[in-house]
Amino acid sequence: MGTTTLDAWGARWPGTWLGAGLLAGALCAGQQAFAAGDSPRAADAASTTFTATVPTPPAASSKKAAAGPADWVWQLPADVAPPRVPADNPMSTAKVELGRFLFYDKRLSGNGTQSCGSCHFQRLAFTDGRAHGLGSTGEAHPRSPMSLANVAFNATYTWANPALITLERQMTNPVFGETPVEMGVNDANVQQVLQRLQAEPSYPRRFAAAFPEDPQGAISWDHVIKAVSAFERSLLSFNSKYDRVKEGKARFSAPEARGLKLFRQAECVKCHQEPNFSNQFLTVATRDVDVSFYNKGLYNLDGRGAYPAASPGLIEITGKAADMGHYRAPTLRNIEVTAPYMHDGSVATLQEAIALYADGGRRLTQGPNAGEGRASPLKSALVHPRALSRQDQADLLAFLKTLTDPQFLRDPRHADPFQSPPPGKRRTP
Amino acid sequence: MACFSTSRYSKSLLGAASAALALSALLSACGGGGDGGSSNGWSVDASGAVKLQFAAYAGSTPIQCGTAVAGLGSKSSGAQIQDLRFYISNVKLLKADGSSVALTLSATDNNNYQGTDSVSLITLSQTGVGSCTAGASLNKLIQGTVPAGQYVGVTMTLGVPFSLNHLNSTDPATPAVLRSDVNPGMSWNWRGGRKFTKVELQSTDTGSPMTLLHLGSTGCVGDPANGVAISSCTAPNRVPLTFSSFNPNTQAIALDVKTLFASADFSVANSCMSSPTDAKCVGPFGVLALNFNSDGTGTGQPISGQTQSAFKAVGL
Repeated sequence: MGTTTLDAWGARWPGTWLGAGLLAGALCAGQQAFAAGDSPRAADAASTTFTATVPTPPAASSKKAAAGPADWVWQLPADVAPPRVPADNPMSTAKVELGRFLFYDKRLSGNGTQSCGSCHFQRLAFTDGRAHGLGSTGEAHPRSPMSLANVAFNATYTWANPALITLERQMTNPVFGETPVEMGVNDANVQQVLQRLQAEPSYPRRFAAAFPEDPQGAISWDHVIKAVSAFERSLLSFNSKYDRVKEGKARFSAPEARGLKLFRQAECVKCHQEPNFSNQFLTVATRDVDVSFYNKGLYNLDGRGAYPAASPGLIEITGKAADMGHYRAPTLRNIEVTAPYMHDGSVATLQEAIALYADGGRRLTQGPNAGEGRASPLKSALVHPRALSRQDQADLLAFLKTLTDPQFLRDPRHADPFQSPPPGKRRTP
Repeated sequence: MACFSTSRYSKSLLGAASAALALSALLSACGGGGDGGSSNGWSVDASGAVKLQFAAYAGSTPIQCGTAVAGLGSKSSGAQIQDLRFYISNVKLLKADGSSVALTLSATDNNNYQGTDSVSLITLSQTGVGSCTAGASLNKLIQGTVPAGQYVGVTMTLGVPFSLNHLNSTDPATPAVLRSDVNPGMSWNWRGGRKFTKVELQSTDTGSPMTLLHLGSTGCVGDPANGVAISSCTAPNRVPLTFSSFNPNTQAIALDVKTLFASADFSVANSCMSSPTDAKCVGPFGVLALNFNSDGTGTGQPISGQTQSAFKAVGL
């Protein structure tokens, strides 16, 4: 990918995302013969979202044209292709700006106490510093809120859910979810919440600008979710020291350089792949889509690799015994500020996380979750003991800190508009 | 009074003694055949209009929000309805020769969608009545039309067809009955589809533990390479409901929560969200005659040679 040119992306755009989407219906008809369970019939209705709207054909030489209307420009490093964007929700600056307001609008929760931003703080790379997210009615989530940095590029969303392949579909979970309640929109208040948003004087204008097909600027759940998703896609973090070094604008210290070398030698990079230091990184240029999930040997309750029932991982979706404890490898960008770590926040510091991997998993000696995770039969083959000295681990830590993007953490374009000064005036974090 | 067909009744979980008692009762109520109709069935006139009624029962007792339900589960516990809704799709009327005719729904609205695959949401609970927290207003009817003629029974599917189940829940193009802005509680967003049933009972025992069944397709995954939101599910978990001898003029289709949760201990929580590895699902899936193994290998297909016993015909 590092050698792929912009021209190549532009030329390949029709053959990758849009083309694949149009093909999906035909492919799915064929799947009927192979799928053991449920599969689409002749016309796959579930795919229409992606194929109903044909995007404007891109100009071959511009990233701007590759994923949205004329005014949206993907500000990305030279070696990063734009993310895939659903055809029915093209990017625009007006939509991203509306989405920013909605993301931080507490009126969007059932009881009016919580916004998306209540669990995703910009200064913490859109995590909240908690092991377990806390919903609007006080219910704790089994998992820790994930960073939203570069979230546009994920093949699947949340910690381990292959049923969610777009941000639009992901967002319905925190908004409408019942187990646990997060934002708490339900049968009783679903219309009331929309009515509450009418109180924001700028919304009719902002909705109309974001969705020109509806000049009245009506507030609908469809447009709320599309706008917030567009804002989330705009949360790009590619301005870390690591990026500046790559561009020749900075130099690693000796420990940082050793850390990067170790990061690659010790196979950390196998799951946390560059450029996003994650797996499941999907762009318009991606040909082989990675949808891997991994068991890191955090738990082994029963000698057979069992994880605590509150959050067993991918098995919760697939029902496959081998998927116990499997999770996506999240981005390590800004990892310095996203403690506590792992899906359940059970690792307090980055030092401990590094030590855990050096140890080939985790042994818990006491408590209800006690067990020898290092010996889990379900553990990924990539997680095994490694001879990493204290200095090695310190160097790894030094390198990981170069993935922090201070500009991202205080970029006024991502900040709470209900609190921040007008655009153009940078506020201190 | 319940009117069961004798063949269906013999497969229920009720004991032989109570079956005999109930059978003698319904024989008198239903004129001996137990199916509420003559062997020639019943006729639909030139208007073609057909009304199917649904009801909630616990055993032979009609139940509703705000009234205590008694005699539930393995400890004969009491409970209140909190939520009682389910999707019914692709209703067909049966003829004596074994052929079937699709019912054309009368409307597309917040409760119904007319299409190649049709679906209706039956709502038997009302927000604010008793312990009920869900259901905007009762919807006990499926109305539609068929060609005039003689019919003997009815068949339908409990659940939402694959072609509709995975539509975007917030897209205005998605039928209202399946949308989050109309029926948010029925969207099953984390599994990429809809809850086919939302049956929730709050026990009157200490701590008010919940017994619930969220039935729906599981193992559903998307195809990010091709941008297909949900490309397949491993366990469809749709239940065929066939009443080969059924007269909608004299009978309704009842969900019997006593039978559905017969093996549950209502003094503790029994939350089955159709998770393929959830042992709490063994009971209700067995009653629905769906293939389920708590090791995750269940197919979610109707078990050949078995018939569900949670839904039954009752007299109007």
